[in-house]
Amino acid sequence: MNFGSALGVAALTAEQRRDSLASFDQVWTTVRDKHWDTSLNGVDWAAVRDQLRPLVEKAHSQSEVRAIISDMLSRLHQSHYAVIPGSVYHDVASREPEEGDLNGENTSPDGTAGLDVRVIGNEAVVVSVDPHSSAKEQGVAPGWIVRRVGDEEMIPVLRRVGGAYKDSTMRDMMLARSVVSRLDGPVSNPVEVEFQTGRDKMVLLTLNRREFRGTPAKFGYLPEEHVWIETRRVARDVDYIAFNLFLDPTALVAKFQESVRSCAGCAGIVIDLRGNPGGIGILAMGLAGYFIDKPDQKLGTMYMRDLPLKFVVNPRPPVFEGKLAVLIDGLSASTSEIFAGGMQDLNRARIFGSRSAGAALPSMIERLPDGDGFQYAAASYKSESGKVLEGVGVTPDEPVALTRAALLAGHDPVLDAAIRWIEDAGTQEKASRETSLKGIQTQ
Amino acid sequence: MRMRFVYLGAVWMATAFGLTAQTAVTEVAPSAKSALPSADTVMQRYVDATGGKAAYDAVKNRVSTGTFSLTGKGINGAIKMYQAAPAKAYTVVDIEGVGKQEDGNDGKTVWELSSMTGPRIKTGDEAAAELRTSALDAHTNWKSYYKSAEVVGSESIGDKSCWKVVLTPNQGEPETDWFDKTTGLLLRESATMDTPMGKIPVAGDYSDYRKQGDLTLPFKITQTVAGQEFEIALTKVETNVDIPANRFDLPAEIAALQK
Repeated sequence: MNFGSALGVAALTAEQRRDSLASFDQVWTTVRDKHWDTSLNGVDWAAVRDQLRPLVEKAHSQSEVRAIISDMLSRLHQSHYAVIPGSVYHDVASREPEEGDLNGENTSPDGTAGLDVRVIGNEAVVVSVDPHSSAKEQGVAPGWIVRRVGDEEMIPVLRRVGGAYKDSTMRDMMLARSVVSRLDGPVSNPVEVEFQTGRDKMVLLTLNRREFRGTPAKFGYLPEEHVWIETRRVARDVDYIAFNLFLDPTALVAKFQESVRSCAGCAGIVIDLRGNPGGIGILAMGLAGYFIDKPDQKLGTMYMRDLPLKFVVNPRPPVFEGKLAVLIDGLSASTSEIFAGGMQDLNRARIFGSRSAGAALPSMIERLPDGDGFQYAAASYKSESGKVLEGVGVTPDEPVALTRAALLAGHDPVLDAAIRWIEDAGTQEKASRETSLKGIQTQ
Repeated sequence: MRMRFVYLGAVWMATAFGLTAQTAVTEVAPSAKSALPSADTVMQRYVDATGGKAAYDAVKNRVSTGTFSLTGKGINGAIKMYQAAPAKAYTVVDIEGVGKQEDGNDGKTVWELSSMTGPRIKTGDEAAAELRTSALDAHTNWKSYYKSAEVVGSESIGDKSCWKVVLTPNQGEPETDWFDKTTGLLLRESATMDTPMGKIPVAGDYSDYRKQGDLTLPFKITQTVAGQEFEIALTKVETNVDIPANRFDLPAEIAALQK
């Protein structure tokens, strides 16, 4: 791997060089001491240090140091090991730098163009449009294809990312991120996007960005994230709950509880975890408690170096007794997978959609001496049936693929399938009750 | 005073975990065991060094206020602990970005209520340990709570030479205390907590002893739970104050579990 030119005068000061080496050492030592697998996935960790530390000593920039440390972490071949640049550590999600970013002229917060995207086939297809966005005002609709963002054609980007992740369960996630990260950016900078409309015409629109949906939430050194939860009735006797992150527990749990309790007599509830990358792991247990009435039920077990920890669900009476459907896709990761995989294993939920991201390892982020963040996994995790979720993901009970045609027709085939299942089960139960009643009456 | 382990399962589980437990060093050779003091002597020395039995007996309740932080994780909060004789307790930790984590007991039912994981009634060894460590007379009356205690050696914690005492409770697994040979103060405890999630090693280091009324108490407690370290720094400790009569009542969510 080429980490940059070895020629020229070093750009790092003595202090920066010292911090860079200290950061390298901290990452190396943390992995050695805290990785749950003492064999470190079979990697000769000392040899990795011997090979890469001299490169840090010769590095000319912090980005070069970051690339070296990232290379070291990539040798583990596991998710949730990453270096987060200090410049974006607290304030922004990962996105492409824009004009004004590098010279410090961009002082406005990051925001969103209001579009959520999934890559279907080889196309970046819009799956939802924020009703308050300028995209909505200009007529952008689910099913449209994002062809170009700014000056960048999407096809080569998707080809590149898709190739890099062709064998990974995280492919869908990385493909979608590669598009959304280009759509997002400073609120003060509009973004020019070329779409292929539902009638396959090409249109060029300038989209104003707005603040991310939801309420800003902080958790330790994790970057600030906006958290939202949406609840609504999607059928006569079926409620729908979606939220974007397992964060901000006070607000999230309160709203979640309110929704579940208000639907106590419903035939079913749909929890939509599509696009939800996770958050605080134990919230999976906390939310599961609204649906499981027996004590000592487990979603799975986390394996640390010396200690297995069971993810035990605490029932939260009155527990919802109706049907539970959970929607997932390739962007459902980590805590979403712990919840979905565990509830599937306990036969408490039926899972709809497409395979999850297989990125389930619990992780934490620490500050490095050079100001970057270091994300690392501190444990492994198996769902209750013994399935390792990492690199495998949760397989839906009922696979349902998103199609552009369905989106253009205003349908959500995954949600539709879940509602159908709940309603069919309700019809069958009603018929069964009536049959029993008739039996009693004729006796 | 025997400090309570403030077991914040929901808090430390909210992050991942460190794994390097702090360890003491320099075990006394078996041949030197005859020179060891009795556990009675070491425990009594602690009581005397921190104020004496009469001062402990005069404490009918205690309210401790302070701050809470997970070391190196940027997770901070406020903590308030209530204890009342004989062994009632209520602790609330309000953590930024997480919410309230409460635990306590009314002398019979031991419970935990987390904004993240919900309500739980503790049973078995876990409940017994909680009641034991909630007792205000846990040190002056330790023989009521432990069936045996033995000084097993001498170990250093930092630059302080300590007596290492293994106490076997009436119910549950043995616990280990380290008492400073010079001052008689308790510097460290370790135990294993038997929870539904599994058996979890816990340790607590006590420092910043200050005179509070007639007692000398540790104002800084560094706890290590399954390798994750967090620090409690007390800012105020009050004794024999007016505590609301319902302070130790079971929360509605816990009462609902009993139905």
